[in-house]
Amino acid sequence: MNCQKVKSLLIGFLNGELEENIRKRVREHLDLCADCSREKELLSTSWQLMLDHSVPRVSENFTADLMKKIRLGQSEHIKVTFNLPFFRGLFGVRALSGALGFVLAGVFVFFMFWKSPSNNQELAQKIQPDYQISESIANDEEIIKNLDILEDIELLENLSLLTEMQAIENFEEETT
Amino acid sequence: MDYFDEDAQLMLRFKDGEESCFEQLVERHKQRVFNLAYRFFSDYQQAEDISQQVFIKLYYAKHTYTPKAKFTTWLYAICRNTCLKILRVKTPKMLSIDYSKQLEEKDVLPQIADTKIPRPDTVILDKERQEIIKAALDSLPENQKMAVILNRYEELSYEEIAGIMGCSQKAVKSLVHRARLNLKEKLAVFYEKT
Ligand SMILES: [Zn+2]
Repeated sequence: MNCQKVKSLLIGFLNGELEENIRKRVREHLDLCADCSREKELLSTSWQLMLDHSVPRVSENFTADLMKKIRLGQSEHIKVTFNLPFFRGLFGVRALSGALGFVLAGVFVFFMFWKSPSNNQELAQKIQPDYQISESIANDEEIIKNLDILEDIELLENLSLLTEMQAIENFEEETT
Repeated sequence: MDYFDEDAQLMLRFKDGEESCFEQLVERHKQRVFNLAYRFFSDYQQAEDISQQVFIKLYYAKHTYTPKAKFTTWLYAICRNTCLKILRVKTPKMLSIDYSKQLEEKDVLPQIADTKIPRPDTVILDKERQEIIKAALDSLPENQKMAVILNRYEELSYEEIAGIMGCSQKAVKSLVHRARLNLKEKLAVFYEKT
């Protein structure tokens, strides 16, 4: 076993993840090779050193603050949701297309009105889609407001069923 | 497989309308959630904000709860998800913090309880050590960093981490291995100084 091969197996060796015969060969190499032996020590001590990362205590009024936020309603949560680029983007696109649809519908209705101003019943029918559009914009906003919560609910429900696609996406930059 | 540990019991009771069970869950896990967020961002206020968001999400997700996965796996998954979302919108300016100042301002949880009064030179060395460790952790790509936090500090198995991160155990193992190689390089500075 050469040094390169041994070095690639060192973490597995330290974690006790190697098969017995491979572990034995690595051990034999380490007994003879000072370079690989030092590498093993560095891997071991650096991992040990990481444990010294201390963390401050969470503030004493954490729970009280949290319960206050919850009781005050979802305003705090929604504010955070809207700060996320995905939702900003989504909302931006929807609001834009919604507004465009609204304007086009308005123009359409205006021309209908201009052509036959006397037919009020027909006009009311033409206006109806216009009203529906504005209502759908309001509904969209509600949906978007709840998306963040829904996304996490979905995550929680499907925790054990996360697809390989997501894994690929998550680790694409890592593996390339 | 269903989990009926104390957390699961509390969550099920909360689902049935016992609000006090939610508060108990927060009390039991707030430091755990905070630790993860703090190690991920090295920012006290941000870590606390994220922790609050995590529990708010948990609060509103109660109706969907079934004890199919371990409660903590569920909790870590929300926490990881929240951290990554925040990371996407974080500006470089927000990332910079005066770490040593933070350590002075806040109580620090030592890994091992130590009642002795530290000598000033030990404090300096400890602070320096903290900064080096923090910088090493911060230098890792986000997935490696998350895997290290879950594996090294939260002491979770590759299997549990895979469940939280939505990837295979093999991928988690690979992430941790690569992170260890990176950390070894970054922490070489520390060995040179000591
Ligand atoms: Zn060698």
